[in-house]
Amino acid sequence: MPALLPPATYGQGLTAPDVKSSKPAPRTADGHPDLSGYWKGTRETKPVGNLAKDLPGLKLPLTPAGEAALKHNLTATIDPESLCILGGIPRHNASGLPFEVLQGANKVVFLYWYSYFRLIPVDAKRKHSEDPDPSFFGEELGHWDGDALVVDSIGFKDTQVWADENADPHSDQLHVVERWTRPDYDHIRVETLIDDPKFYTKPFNYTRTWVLGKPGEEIHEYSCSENNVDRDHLGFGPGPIRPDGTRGFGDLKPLPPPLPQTTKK
Amino acid sequence: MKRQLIIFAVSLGLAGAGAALAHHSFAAEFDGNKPIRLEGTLSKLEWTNPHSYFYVDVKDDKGTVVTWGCEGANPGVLSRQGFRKGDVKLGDNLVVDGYAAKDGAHLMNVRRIYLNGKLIFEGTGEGAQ
Repeated sequence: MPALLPPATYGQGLTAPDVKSSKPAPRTADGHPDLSGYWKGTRETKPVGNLAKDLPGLKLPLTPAGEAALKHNLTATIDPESLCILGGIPRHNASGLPFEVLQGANKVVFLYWYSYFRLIPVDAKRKHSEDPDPSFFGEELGHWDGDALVVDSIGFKDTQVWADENADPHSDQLHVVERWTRPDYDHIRVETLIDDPKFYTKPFNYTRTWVLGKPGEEIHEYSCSENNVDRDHLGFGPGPIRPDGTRGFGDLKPLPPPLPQTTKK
Repeated sequence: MKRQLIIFAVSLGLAGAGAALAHHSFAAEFDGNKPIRLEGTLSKLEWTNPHSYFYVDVKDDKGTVVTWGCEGANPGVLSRQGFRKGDVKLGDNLVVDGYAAKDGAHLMNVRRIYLNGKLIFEGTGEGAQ
């Protein structure tokens, strides 16, 4: 017989409610906070998928070129992620999907759904290349600044990229500086400075906190192009953006009335 | 086999327009003004990424069979929620509620599945954001 899952199990999905934590962040043998863990977005993070989350009126400071790029993304591009193209940074930090961090002594790995990853060398002496090959995650260099892992990235692609789920744009001039911290055992936090003088009039910030997943939760295989039926049926852009900065129709037309169910005895 | 009714629209923070979670925007593919109900026979089940598909053969008034692809969450999400691919089998009679594709293809975004009249799944399907 069908059994209704109790409400407590609703949360065993991709997001989790925020929690209070009194447990300190773990540390590695070399004394740095250990960022390792399976991290889930909280339901308090609103709007998800929108880089303007922390800005007044959810308004990004677009230049005229940025406005044109946004219009192009909205009206002439299919979401690259839905075509199984890497989301890159900063998009993955705005995503609703969990991620996993594995921290080593000299490298930190971020593992994402879609079986994507970013591998960040942690070496304060390493400098950016003069002309890095454009990539979706950029040329990313890590170093520790006290208890913060700083990831400085340049060298981004400027085609087939959306900077977030809302199709906001970024150019090849994008420079992202992320400061990752683990304020306590149960949280990881990023403060992101996004600077893109081609598309944005000034640098802006994106800050977010995730909560630790339950023991045993981890990234699983996710082959995005295994059976991408959607590919041939997707329209341009993310669809309408609601006043609250999320995507989708304001009101869906109601489904047909539910079929009557017999009561379980 | 024990079957569970899976309800996770609430867990995704949405009652309607789709999760801010996944592979593509709901509105990029599906029409929120086109709710539909299909009744037919499960002819194929694709337990795949980025989405699962329940293919249902639906007979129209003239007896012509049309196969609809009903897009559900990916296997990882469904499994974590307790829905297993063995919970339905080929030949099962299903009623599926959801929203039709904008482009007129025989595709829908699943919101409810009834097996032999019993509700076995209700949610956004996580297929869209």
